[in-house]
Amino acid sequence: MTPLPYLRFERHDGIPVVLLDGEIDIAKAPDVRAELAGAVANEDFGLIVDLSEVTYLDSSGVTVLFELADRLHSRQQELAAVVPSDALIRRVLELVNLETVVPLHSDLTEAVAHLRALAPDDSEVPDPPLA
Amino acid sequence: MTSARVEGSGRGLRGLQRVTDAALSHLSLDDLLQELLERVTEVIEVDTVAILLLSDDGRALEPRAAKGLEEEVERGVRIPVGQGFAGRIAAEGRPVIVDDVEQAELVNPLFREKGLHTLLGVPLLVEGQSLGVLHVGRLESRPFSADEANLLQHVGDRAAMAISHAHLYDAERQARELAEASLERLARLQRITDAALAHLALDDLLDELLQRMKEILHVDTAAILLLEDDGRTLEARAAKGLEEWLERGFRIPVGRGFAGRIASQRRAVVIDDVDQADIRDPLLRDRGLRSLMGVPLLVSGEVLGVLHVGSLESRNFSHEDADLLQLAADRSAMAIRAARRFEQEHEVAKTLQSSLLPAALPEMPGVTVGARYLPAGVGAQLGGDWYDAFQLPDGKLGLVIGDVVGHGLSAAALMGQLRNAVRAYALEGAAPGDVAERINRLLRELERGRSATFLYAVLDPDCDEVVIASAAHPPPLLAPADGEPRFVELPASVPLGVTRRPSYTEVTDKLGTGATLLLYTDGLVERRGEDLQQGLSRLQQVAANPPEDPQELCDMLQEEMLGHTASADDTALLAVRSMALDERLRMLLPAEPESAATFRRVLGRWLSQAGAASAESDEIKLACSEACANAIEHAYSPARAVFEVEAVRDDGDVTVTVRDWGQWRAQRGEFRGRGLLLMKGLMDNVDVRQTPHGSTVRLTRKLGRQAVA
Repeated sequence: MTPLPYLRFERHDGIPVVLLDGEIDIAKAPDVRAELAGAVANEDFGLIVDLSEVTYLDSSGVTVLFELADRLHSRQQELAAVVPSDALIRRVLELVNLETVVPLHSDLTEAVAHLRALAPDDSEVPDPPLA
Repeated sequence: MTSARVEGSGRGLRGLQRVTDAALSHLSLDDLLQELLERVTEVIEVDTVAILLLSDDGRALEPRAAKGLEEEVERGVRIPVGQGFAGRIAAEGRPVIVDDVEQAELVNPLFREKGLHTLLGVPLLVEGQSLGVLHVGRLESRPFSADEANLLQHVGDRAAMAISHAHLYDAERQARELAEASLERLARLQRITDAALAHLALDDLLDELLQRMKEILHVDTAAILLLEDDGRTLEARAAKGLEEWLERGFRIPVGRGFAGRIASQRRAVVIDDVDQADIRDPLLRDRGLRSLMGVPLLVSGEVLGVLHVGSLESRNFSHEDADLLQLAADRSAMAIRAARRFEQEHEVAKTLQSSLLPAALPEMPGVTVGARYLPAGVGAQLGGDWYDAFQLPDGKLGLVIGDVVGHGLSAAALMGQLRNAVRAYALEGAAPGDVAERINRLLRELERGRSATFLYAVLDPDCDEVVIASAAHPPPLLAPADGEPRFVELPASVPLGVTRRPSYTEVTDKLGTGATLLLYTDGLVERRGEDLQQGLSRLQQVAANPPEDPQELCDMLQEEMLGHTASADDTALLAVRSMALDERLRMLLPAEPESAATFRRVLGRWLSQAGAASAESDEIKLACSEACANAIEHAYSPARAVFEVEAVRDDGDVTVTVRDWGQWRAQRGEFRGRGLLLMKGLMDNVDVRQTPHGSTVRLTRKLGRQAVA
């Protein structure tokens, strides 16, 4: 599958991060859902979804996040989201109460630190050489 | 006796003069010989006269004219030089007298049969060369005297001169006739190879050739049949004197009938008498044709068809006739092949063009697009210009214009590849600069050494902003609603395909309501004998106060900039105009996920027109999009797979109504529930009505209120 131009993977401090940008709406949500499904390996402690560059997120996008949280939690994996506090999508996510299942962070560093703090020591995975 | 001699001499002198008479010099040889016979009898009293001429090989004498001895000529005997009476004269080159034929040896038995008694013969000499023999004979036994021998030798000498002249005259006349015949033949050939024919369209050329063949060969019918694509049938393509053939669309299988036989045998067929020929071709018989001649139309050994002629009278067609017909056939075959190639190329060009240019231009409220592709003039090659316009998944508008350097099928084909690749990259969501860089890479991959100028612009109808990346393409012209048109300033850039890692910087500009953006290729502004700057200035002038409809602008530019003269280069034009939306916005959108983005752009444009601030506009767009998503999900029935959006501003209130005609489906999970949550959270009022025939969601919000957060 061709990687989506508005979605990329990184690893920060051993934690997988999915960075999205642009407008995530009813047309893109199915692709994002499919892509995120493979983003977390079994041995990963959790996943961070960075929405800092997302300018638009509707209920279909919101639902992808809820579903993802459900899946990870059922596998005892953590999900965290990065959403700038002044963004429209922060208001959207607050309206649908995503915070009840997914912690929202203002920046990526904060999110990484949060997940690292929760992670047991043996789950640490070194960064790939070129990351 | 004396008186007789004198009388004889007088006759002789007068006769001698007659023999050298200048009037004889214009007679043909045969006429001259006859005339000489007469005149010899006037000079000398004899019963028979004969003239024998040396054969071409010089070995025998051939009796050519005789009086009293006509049988000798009729029998066509050849008398070897040295044998018999005449042969001896020719061999010895002097007069011979035979006093008594009965006693002589080796004398033509005819002389005896005729009862000739005495003979006198003299050689016909010109400058010592023997031409033949003249001899005379008498039935009575009066022997020839030495005087008579002298006299006859004189006559013979003069006759020889006359014969020699006549020979020359004949040779000259034959040469002249030969020359005239060749001229005539040449003229006939020229009528077929006439260069002027080359300017005729195929059908006119075939008609003209057939008409000329009819005249040259003096025939009653002439027809050309062409092999159909299946290679099994001949169909009448042109005919003279057989016009009913054409009307009936005469067809005949290869191998059958006259024409079919020529095609299968691939060679000329001549039939002198139709009745004798094993040809069952009712059409030819019905026409009453007696003789037929036909040749195949061959090009590089391939049979294209058949050319045949027919005569109502019985004819024996000569080799020359057949050669002429073949020449006409070759001429026709070449023209047919050229025309077919042209047709094929034209067809390929048309197919290419239609596959390379978008079938339809995108439509969107508030934005109108017009375009035009102008191929180069007749006779010019295919060009590599293209334009493209499409809606992007995020509801923005992609506008492409490009020009592959070079001409011909290869340029056009490469253009097609680039066009598709641009679309593919663009629809993936790549930004203009990124698209240009990727296309550069692709072009270098596809055809090293080729280059292209290229420009990709993305117009966001929401804010009227256009983001442009250009690869050495002429700058777009931006004509505002009021004011002078200006060229969009672009950084210097290299064409696609030239360097390995070019950087294409994006430039952002703003259209503004009522403004037109024109993309074009250099064919529009380049004119022979004019520098590019002049062309650009001309465009700037012509495009001032453009017509509102971009399509009309393209038409106008074609008229004003290119006129009616055939252009050497092709030209592509793409114009887009940003327009004010109606105060009451109404649009029908296909019930597809992709419509959501379009809806947001258009609603955003309308909201800013209605005076909404950016933040509240974003919230209203999101809330209303949820209603759209609802409509899109409902549209399971393809019967009416559209939904309707209406937006009005009443005092400070904005009301957006989304209506669908789909089957209501029960909410699945919490998805729609969250949608409703968002609608209610972001709007002042949300009213949802569901019926078995569809649902209507009405959302209202007062402008200028505090944002939700």
